[in-house]
Amino acid sequence: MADTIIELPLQGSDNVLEIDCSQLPEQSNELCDILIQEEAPLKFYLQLAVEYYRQHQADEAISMLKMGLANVKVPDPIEKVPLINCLAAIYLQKARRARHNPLQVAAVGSATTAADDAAASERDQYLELATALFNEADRIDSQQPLTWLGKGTLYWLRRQSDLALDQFRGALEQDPHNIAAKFGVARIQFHSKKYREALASYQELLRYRPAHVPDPRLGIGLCFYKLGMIKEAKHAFERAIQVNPQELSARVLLAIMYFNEFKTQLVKSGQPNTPILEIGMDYLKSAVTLNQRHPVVSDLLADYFFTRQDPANSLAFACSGIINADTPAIEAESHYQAARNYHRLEDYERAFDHYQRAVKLNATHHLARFGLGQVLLHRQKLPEALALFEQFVEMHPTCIEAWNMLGAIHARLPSHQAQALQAFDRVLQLVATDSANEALANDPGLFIDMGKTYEQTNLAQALKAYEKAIALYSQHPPDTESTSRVPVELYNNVGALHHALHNYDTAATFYEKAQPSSTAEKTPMAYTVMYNLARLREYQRRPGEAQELYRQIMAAHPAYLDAYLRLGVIAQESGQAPNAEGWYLDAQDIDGQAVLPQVLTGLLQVDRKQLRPARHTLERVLKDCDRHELYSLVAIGNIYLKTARNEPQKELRIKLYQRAIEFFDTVLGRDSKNLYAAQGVGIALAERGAYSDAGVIFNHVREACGDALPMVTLNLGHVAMEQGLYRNAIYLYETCLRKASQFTPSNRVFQQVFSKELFMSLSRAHYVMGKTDKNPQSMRHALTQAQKASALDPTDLATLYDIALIEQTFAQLVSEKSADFRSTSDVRKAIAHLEHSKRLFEFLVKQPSAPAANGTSTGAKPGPFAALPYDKKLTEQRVNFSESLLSKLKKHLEEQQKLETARESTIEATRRKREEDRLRRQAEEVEREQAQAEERRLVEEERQRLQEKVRQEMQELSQTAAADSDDDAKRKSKGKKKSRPRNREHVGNEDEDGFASGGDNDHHDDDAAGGEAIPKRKRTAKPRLRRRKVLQEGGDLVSGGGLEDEGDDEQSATNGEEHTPRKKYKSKAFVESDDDSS
Amino acid sequence: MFTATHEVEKAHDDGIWCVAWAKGANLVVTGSVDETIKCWNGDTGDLVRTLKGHCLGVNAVDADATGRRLLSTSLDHSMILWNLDTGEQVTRIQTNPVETWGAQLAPEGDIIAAGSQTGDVNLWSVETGGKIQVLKTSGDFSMAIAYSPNGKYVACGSKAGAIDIFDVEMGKLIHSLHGHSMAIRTLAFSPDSAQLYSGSDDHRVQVYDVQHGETIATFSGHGSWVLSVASHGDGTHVASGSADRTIKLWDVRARQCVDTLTHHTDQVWGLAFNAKSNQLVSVSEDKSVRWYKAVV
Repeated sequence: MADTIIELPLQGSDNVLEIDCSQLPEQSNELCDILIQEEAPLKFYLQLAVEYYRQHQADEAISMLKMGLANVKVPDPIEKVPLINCLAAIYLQKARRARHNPLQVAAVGSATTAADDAAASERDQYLELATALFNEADRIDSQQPLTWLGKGTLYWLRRQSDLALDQFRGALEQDPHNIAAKFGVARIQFHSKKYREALASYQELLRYRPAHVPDPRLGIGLCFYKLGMIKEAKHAFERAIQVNPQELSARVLLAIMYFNEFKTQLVKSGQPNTPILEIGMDYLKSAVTLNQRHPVVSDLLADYFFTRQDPANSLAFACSGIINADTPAIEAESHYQAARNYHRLEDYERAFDHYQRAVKLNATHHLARFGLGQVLLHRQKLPEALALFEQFVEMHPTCIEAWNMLGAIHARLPSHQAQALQAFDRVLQLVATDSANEALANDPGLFIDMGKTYEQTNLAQALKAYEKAIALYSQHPPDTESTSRVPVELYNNVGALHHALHNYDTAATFYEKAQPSSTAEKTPMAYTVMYNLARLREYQRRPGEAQELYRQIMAAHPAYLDAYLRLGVIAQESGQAPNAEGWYLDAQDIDGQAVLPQVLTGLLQVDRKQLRPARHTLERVLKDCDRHELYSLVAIGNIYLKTARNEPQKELRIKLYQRAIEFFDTVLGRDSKNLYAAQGVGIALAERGAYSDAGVIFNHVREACGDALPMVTLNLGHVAMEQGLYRNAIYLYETCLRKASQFTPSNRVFQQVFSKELFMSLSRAHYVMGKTDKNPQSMRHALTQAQKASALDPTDLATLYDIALIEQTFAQLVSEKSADFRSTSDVRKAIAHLEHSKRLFEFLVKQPSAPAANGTSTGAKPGPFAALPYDKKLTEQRVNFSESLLSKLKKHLEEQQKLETARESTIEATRRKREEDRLRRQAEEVEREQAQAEERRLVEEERQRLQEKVRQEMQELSQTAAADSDDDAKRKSKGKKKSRPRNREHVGNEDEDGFASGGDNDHHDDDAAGGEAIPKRKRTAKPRLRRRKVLQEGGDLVSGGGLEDEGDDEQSATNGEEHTPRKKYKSKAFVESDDDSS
Repeated sequence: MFTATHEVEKAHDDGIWCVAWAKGANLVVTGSVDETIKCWNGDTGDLVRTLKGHCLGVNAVDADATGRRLLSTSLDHSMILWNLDTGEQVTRIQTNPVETWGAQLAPEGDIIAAGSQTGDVNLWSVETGGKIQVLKTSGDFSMAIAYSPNGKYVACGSKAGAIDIFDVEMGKLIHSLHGHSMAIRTLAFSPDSAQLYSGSDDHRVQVYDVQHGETIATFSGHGSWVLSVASHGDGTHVASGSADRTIKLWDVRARQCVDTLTHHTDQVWGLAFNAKSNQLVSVSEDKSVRWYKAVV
């Protein structure tokens, strides 16, 4: 171009003005002025405009042409036509480029759509300008092929290929050798997928212009390619390069072809064919040397760098592709390349934009569509993602990945479980049925995805998917070293799932597999696996091994907080509280802001009954770290419950319960399903006497948590007790006991902490019921349960007191029984128990007020209860009552023995009488048979002699026989007769004696004795009153926690309803929290 | 390794708290909260005799070295010495409450060692039924007591987790061990009296050298209280039963668990080996008695 010099003849002289096109002025105005001054003909304007255009100064070219058209007067407007066409062509070009504004690329991000709209309207503007110009040209000369060509291009740009084709065909009719028109036709044929016709057109072009640029061979090659004639296509491209070594497109196309071939082979055989890849790379490289900015080259390079995990370069080329792309398809590809890079860099915002643009530019870019769906899923836009993939599988019903994604989306949507399963089923079905999918189905990643999805909803299913993935990894031949190794993460996940499903041994083997073989190559992942294994060892009850693992983790990572915490929890669980505290403090030193170490410290303090410091610790967590820390809130609520329970002042107590409820309410406000808080509210209500409300809450909690919180069943039992539903209470306690002994990790701690209380509660329920029903058998049950409690803690005085009380009451009930309903051995048993009970009461009376056994013990017994858990005076009265009852029972024993002797002799007499009867009957029988035989003999004799009298005789005889049998029946009915109870009054007398002796010292609780004193009529008339009394007497039993002190109870007899029952409701939040915190 | 051979499912009416293998008479003797003591044929598991005499649950049974005398103690705070051949009571000693806990018979069958509320261990004469000696412990209540097979030592384990070993003849405390952090529920000496095994609420089993008072091994593996330990005749193995419902067999030399038996459905209260230690018997809160035999 540099040597192009335009000679402009100067007006009125022979001189010419030489315009050096390499030095065109920046502004075209100068030149225009000269041209106008010199009245230059139109062609100069055109020439100069073309020069400007060539030098990428399209705007100057436009103004040049406009000046020419405006200023030059021509005789025939036809001369204007080339200028008009040129101007229109430039507009077309501008319209085409309207999308490729680099600024717009930079602005990708938030303003995407705005930029898009701007570009679209700009494009439309140019197309309109061009249209107007073509119309003008048409008006001047409707037979101008140049115009037709331009219009063809215009329609082409407007995607109106039929109209474009008409234009090009028109141009060809005028001039059958119009190369441009021919190209246009060929191109349209190609794009409307008429490859054979297009091929013919290109081949014709080649015949006319073997050296034309662009080379028709490219078109020929593309047609061959589309027609599946790969070899011919390659040949065409190679020939194009031979003809013109500068040929870029052919190289790019060849590169793509080789790349595709490589991919197809890889998918089919699983073997990478590197020579093919290298040929492709060579073509690409040569293309790059020719033109780095070719959009397709850019896309290919972007793709190449993407696979090489070089996002910086890949993105640079993708952007360059976007800027330089000349067709929507190529631009879409560039956007796709950019998007997948951002996707991998987890810049989902940008990835989303680029995917979206790619899809917009090329609706059939499936990979971009897929990526868009993935990003939507990642951004939790589930309905959008769902719609997208549903559409996707409609288009590609056998695309396994799409079905898999669909499954993943369904699995995340509430109540789409069934659809999720359907989708995954489809995946498995496709894998199973279509051998073409085998390569895809062998992708373990697919199953990892599936497993991840199921992890949220169905552990067993997730496990299956992961195991399939492992199987696939292991199937890979060992020589492909990168893929044959199962990723440790996968083993770890499978281990964790087995762990969660309580398959501990299996979990251990998987964790061990996930461990690197030598210690040298330990990655951070290895320590995660180690930590998991250590947690598993805890579940497997191998705390020693767990501790060793935690120590190893700490040695390598001194700031691994969880290791410290677990060591602390293990120490705490094995009763080494100071040790545990040490670990928690260490953890706090490492990270003063971490919540968990502080919370655990607080819970440990609760465990050690240091309620005040515990509350301070936990309040600090709320104040400094997290105002809504749930563990702390629940724990503080529970601390208030405990404090309230020990608060003697009623008003203050109610205030404390209120405070507890406030904390639990805060928790429930944050987490409406928090069972611990709900249970806390239930406890506070129960403690305040609102038993039915408490019962409702406990029942809700129990329904919600199943067996996870055995504590709530215990509390329900307590509520049932308070409501007088003893049988129900017993059922609940027994359920709870059964659960506790089932020994799952969740109730392990429960068993240890609450076994004794459970036995005590069960004992108390049987006791109260036995007293109500006057049933010694219930008392026996009560005794058994109390003994079980005592076996766990033999020095617990409260339990000993209960045993003594139950034994005494048992003896009393036996003594009250009517003699017919007991035996001597019952009475003997009652005496044995009574004697033992007396000894126990005597022993209890002798106990010092602050017993050493309680005070100095390990903390198993809390300090605040140093006082005796029973009232000494009352115990003394019990001793006295024992004495009177004993003498009574001894009398009973004598009488019972007499009675039994009498009864035995009665039985003997009856037996003897029966025997006599039997013998007599036998004798009668014999007699009668003899009589009958005699009669028969007589009849026989008569029959022979008096034949006609026989019938009469016979009738008479049978009547006698019937009378005989009636007699028989009467005799038989004379059977045994029950002997009536003989001494009801006597028993009553005995009782009054007993009451008199007991009554002296027993103004209060001596229930049964007092009960007997009340005339029977009155008692039945007021069942309600009686029940209430019994309920209070229930407090008689010192329960496991030793909380009901009898002193209170006694006072309550005078204070009426003042007494608040103080059952020991406990929350398991403390106990269990460590399990949950992990 | 042991394998289950036979069992009596409902051996008692309620939980079974203790078991002893009376070697001379080859009887397995079990005591239950149902207040009875039952004697079973050591080989067949057939019920031989039921002993009645306590009015509350039987919490300990212990046979002397001959295996013909049996001591039983109950929550009724009485101790009864039985003639196993006839099933008759030989002696009955009524004590103050809580004074019979964990009572053990000396190998000679003449002395009973039992804890008391003060924490001290009383030695009772079987003959007179009176206290003959008081061993002063470090203070807390003794939950578990063991008499060494050579009759030389008495070990007691406290509620707080301390273990005291006494030389009985000298009447003197020789070692105080503090390996456990929670109540000791069970103690047993090795056959040669050189080692002591302990089981505790802290879920662990420990092994001590009696002469030097040192910890030889610590076994963690149970998930709950260890309620019983029994020493194997070879002197290198110990069995332990736990509230976690399992029985574990530990190799003291290798310091590891070599077997876990999981047949019981509730806590395992007691364990005993036979004379040759090729059989093991266990009792549980689940009311069953189970027999196992050694397999090599």
